[in-house]
Amino acid sequence: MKKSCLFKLPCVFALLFFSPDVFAQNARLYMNKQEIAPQSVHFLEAATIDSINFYSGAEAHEKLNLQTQGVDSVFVIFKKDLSDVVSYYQLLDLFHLDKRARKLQLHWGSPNHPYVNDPQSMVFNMKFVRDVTVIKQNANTDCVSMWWLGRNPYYTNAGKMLTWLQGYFENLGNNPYYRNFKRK
Amino acid sequence: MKKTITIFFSLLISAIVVKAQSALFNRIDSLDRRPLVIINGKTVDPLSFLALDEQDFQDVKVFTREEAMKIFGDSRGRFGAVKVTLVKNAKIFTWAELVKRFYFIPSQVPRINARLNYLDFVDPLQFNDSQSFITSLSTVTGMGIYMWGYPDCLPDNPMILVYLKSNILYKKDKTPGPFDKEIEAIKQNFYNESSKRQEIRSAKTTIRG
Repeated sequence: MKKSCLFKLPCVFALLFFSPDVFAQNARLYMNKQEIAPQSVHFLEAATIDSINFYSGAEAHEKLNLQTQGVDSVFVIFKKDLSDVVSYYQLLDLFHLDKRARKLQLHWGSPNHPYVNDPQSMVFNMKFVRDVTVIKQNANTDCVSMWWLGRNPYYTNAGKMLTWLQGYFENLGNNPYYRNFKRK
Repeated sequence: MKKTITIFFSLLISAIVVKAQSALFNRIDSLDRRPLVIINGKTVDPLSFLALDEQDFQDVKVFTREEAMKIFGDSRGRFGAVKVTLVKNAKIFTWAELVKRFYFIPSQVPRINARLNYLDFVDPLQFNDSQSFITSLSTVTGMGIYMWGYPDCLPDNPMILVYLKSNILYKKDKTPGPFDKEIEAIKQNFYNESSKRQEIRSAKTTIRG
């Protein structure tokens, strides 16, 4: 075995053991200084993102002055140009929907996906929204169902990172703890 | 000389292929062989027939092509006609009411390309005139606006899609009625149209690569 390998291996293990716990239960997503719903990662265009950084809660509080004390993982999407994204209410306007509060469910093919806890904090790039459909669930409840289109190239760093974040928040979404995630 | 002849023939063949393709696409419109549908004495969009609750049907009269042409005129009756009388307490929704029920703002929803999709349809069917569409609310499961996802649907040309309950599931819940045979025969026309459209659409995709 080469000498360099003998040196590198312990470093890799050390990194694995002492790196911040990105699979922690308690995570937040920010776009610049604004907290956004984690499901927004499905509707962002990688090419328009400047960078995506990962912090621990304390670190994000210290460096960016975010209210993230006690949070395990903070992902911050830095994006100077916000002209390509719209808020939830702007999206409803674009689809001629009135602004009554309804549940929001996002799809990529699975019918039993959990609802978005806080639809008002979603951001969307319209290129990634296939449709907005109101589905009658029973006599009294309806939900807004949206399909996203995966259009981010995987070969760019931001594209890779967004895809990874989608999977990350997806796994958390399937976790009952995370389903009860509420913004402060 | 030989080269010129080869070029001439290859041009001729490609012209024939292009002509054949466009003829194939034009066939889509000729598939619209929907009967004239009259509900409670009012002419409505033929797709309304699929969207009404059969439990509300009091009487169904089916006219053959010849009969329909005699009664309703050559152009209106050329694909036959169906006359339906609904029970008195039938609750019917108009297009504007339906749009409003699904939270879309009627005054703002533009008169765009609108289609109806049965869960059993392979290809959604275009409304002839969505404004004259009527439906029972119990048959509709959802309504949405599409910007992507269908070949002819883009943000500049969005599409409204109305979803109906699956006919198969609907039939399971429903008690047998006196007009079941007639109703199924008419519904089959729409199923055929949907499958033919799908066939043509996939042929179009294959040819164009």
